[in-house]
Amino acid sequence: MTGRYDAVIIGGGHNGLVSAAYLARAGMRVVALERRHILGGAAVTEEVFPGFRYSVASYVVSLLRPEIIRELNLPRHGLEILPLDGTFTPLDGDYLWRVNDHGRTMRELRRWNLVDAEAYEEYGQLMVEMARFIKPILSVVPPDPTGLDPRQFLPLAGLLRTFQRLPEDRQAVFVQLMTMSAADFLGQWFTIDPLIATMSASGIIGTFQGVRSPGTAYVLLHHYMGEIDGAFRAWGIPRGGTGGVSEAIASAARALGAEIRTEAPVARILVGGGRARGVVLESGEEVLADAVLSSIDARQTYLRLLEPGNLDPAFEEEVGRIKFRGSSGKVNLAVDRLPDFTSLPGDGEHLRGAISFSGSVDDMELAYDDAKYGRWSRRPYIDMIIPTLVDPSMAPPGKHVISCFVQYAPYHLDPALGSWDDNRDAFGDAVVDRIAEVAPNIREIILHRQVLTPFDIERRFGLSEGNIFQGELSLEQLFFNRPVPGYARFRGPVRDLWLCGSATHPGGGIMGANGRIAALELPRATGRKVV
Amino acid sequence: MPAGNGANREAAGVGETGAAGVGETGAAGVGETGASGEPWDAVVVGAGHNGLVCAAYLARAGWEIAPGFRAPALAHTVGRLRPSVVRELRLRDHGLSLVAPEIRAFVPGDDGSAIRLWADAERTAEELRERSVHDAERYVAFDRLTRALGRFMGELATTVPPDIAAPSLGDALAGLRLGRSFRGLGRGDARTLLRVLPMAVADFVAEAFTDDGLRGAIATRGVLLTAMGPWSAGTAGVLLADGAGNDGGAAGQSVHVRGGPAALADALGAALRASGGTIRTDADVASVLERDGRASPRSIRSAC
Ligand SMILES: Cc1cc2nc3c(=O)[nH]c(=O)nc-3n(C[C@H](O)[C@H](O)[C@H](O)COP(=O)(O)OP(=O)(O)OC[C@H]3O[C@@H](n4cnc5c(N)ncnc54)[C@H](O)[C@@H]3O)c2cc1C
Ligand SMILES: Cc1cc2nc3c(=O)[nH]c(=O)nc-3n(C[C@H](O)[C@H](O)[C@H](O)COP(=O)(O)OP(=O)(O)OC[C@H]3O[C@@H](n4cnc5c(N)ncnc54)[C@H](O)[C@@H]3O)c2cc1C
Repeated sequence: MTGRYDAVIIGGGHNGLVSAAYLARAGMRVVALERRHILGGAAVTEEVFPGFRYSVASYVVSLLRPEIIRELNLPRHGLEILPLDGTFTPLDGDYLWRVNDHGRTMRELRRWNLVDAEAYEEYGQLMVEMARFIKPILSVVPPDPTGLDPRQFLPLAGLLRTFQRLPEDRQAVFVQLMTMSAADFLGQWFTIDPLIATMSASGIIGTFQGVRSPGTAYVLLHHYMGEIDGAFRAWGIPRGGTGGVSEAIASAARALGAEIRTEAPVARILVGGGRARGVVLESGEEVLADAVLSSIDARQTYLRLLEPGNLDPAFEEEVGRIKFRGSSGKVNLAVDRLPDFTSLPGDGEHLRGAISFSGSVDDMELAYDDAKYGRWSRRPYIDMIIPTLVDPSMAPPGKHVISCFVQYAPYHLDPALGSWDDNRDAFGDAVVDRIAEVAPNIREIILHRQVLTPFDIERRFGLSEGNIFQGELSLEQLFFNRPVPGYARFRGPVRDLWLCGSATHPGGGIMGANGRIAALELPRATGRKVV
Repeated sequence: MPAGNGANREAAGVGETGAAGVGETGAAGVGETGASGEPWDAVVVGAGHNGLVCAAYLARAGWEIAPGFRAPALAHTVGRLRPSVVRELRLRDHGLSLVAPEIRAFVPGDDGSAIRLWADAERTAEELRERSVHDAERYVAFDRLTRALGRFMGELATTVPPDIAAPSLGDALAGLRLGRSFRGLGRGDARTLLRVLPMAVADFVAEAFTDDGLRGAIATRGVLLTAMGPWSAGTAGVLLADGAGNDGGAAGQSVHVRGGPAALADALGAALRASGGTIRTDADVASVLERDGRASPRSIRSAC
């Protein structure tokens, strides 16, 4: 289909695809344009070494909105989430192993400490309550607190009422969650160091913060939200890797009439008369549309794809201030056999969930200290998954792939260390060394190793400074401040130019919420009739 | 010790059964009655400057007060002292003399250079030119911004935090007043405020300045008196709060009390005595006496 579109979407990551599907569902003629040869953005599966398929970047799904799964009928389009079970924290001579089976986890915690075991139940319940309370925020358009129209606050009125109804101690906990550090917050309940360390890890994923940095407790809550959707408990890995999510969404979008093109990098956004009119591809081809939705980050959208002169300098400055500074790396391994942990030898069930290299809070904080001064962590925090144990199709028979999400790998290295190209191998070695501390056979079983530094993440996925969330998830860059204050309503100052990727509220992760809210808001805001 | 119950008054400050008050270690209680021969209306435990301010305001309102227990002053500057307190308690008449030097901060660097932050932002900017033209040009605007945001923080600091679960009319009015000041900031500054409050002070200063020495000189105020480093989220809020309700701005407010910080306590004590209050030192409060589950309807503790 050529000619004029109702909407053109820049980027075929999962959010761009979600937008395409919802706009098509509303009866609009839409086309999504992806720069790479493959769809999915950071939610992608690629065969990097022959026979071994990797979820190259993102590796687990926990936040994907259940309403999207339902409304787009994703299971019919091939989505299948294979559950992961538990978190195994290997230690020197011991381990901490929590599983979905409540009784077993309690027994394990009691082995460590009775008081913590009791607190664990209380804590779990509390977090579910908190997550349930805050969850509606994931599907609203943030208000502008300086705006005069009171109607924009309406979506929050319900939230305020629920807040007022919360018992006072719960209100206090909520305030703590919004302000405290993950380690301090958890320290109020627990004393088992590896437990606090492992649980606090989800507070620092993708941020340039340590577990003792204020503000990280909120991110804990963010991660709990995915775990409470009773109907579709979606913590797991998609069959076929995270690319499976993107494939399913793309298939749903196509079925609804959206057009999707790969190898179609956008070079420029066309602006005429103060409004976006379409895009120009690097090939020179023009794609005209009534609205342009960009699923890439705000910096690239406004400062690279727009010709200079279209923006007010104050807005430009605000966009220039967005903090990216990627802090994560990814090491994907192809192995001959499974790793063997000294403290719990064998191919047991402990390998079927997340394996968390987070022995103590000090370890976590020390890993961050390196990053603060421009070095990659010499003893990094690693979140490891072995996808082939739940989805053997990812590797040749008997072989395995291992996904290692690594923190910290600061995008901006101390110049004394040289470039990331100079450091890639040493960084990869540090990851293997850390694993070898508790699973010495790792060195012998590696067949192939893919190391992605933040620099590689930027180059490969177009994520500025390698930030995995298209902008740090720090308090000052959330909700009505995301992507910049005053423009959190999925559009900036240029008319008909929208944002629909992780750069917007509610932030990053394979969630789809951003793409969905933007696509629902566009027809509403433009007064277009939804078919 | 007798409590001398007045006709319609509750007993305060006595360690006797049935009476509410405070009990001293090594002594039976505050014991003595107020000048009227009736029990104290209020006993303030702890005569740090807040205890004294609290007592002085109550005394001014006609309450009979027995505060006490002064400690040596450790602080060296009083930049955060609210001008309204100085005015309303007429502390100058009671001997308070504040000195606000032209120079707000002197920051010697490792390389022999130094940064001077003056009360006059233009003057600071002029001097900064030698280090960095870029920063010099940004300094005055940064000063204006921190001043504007600090003013709002000052308003916030004088508001009693609302009861969120059941806001009272007073809470609502305070909320309205704050809302007005918030709007008064103008859109740009209001947005900046909400963005900056949870930030790390290191990031906040880096948005304006490139010179590391200058960044450090200003960022110190975000970590002063806290257990956080400049990369900790929320320290930008600390910096703004430091400028709350004073003439802080980018350079901060360095105000000294002539005669040292103890002189502030002296002035507060004098103001209190002039309104009829009493101060006792060497009087360690061991317990607060309760009756019917309350300290006494009109007694307060030094949560001031
Ligand atoms: C290493 C890593 C690990 C992660 N782990 C997890 C995880 O385990 N679980 C989780 O939930 N989340 C994880 N995330 C985050 C999650 O993957 C992202 O937040 C999410 O995939 C972003 O989706 P998006 O559609 O908003 O943006 P993107 O995926 O960034 O999509 C943007 C798309 O636009 C394309 N593009 C860029 N420029 C142009 C152009 N000029 N023209 C056309 N197309 C263009 C890009 O190629 C890309 O396909 C991880 C991310 C990374 C990088
Ligand atoms: C080393 C140091 C340097 C500082 N520097 C500065 C600075 O330069 N500028 C600045 O603005 N702030 C500074 N501060 C902070 C500032 O001094 C304090 O926040 C402020 O003085 C607190 O006043 P307060 O009245 O609330 O409490 P406090 O000063 O703590 O007063 C409480 C009083 O109660 C007394 N007390 C305690 N228990 C009992 C009892 N059981 N019975 C009777 N009395 C009791 C104590 O002896 C004390 O006198 C500094 C603090 C310290 C410790």
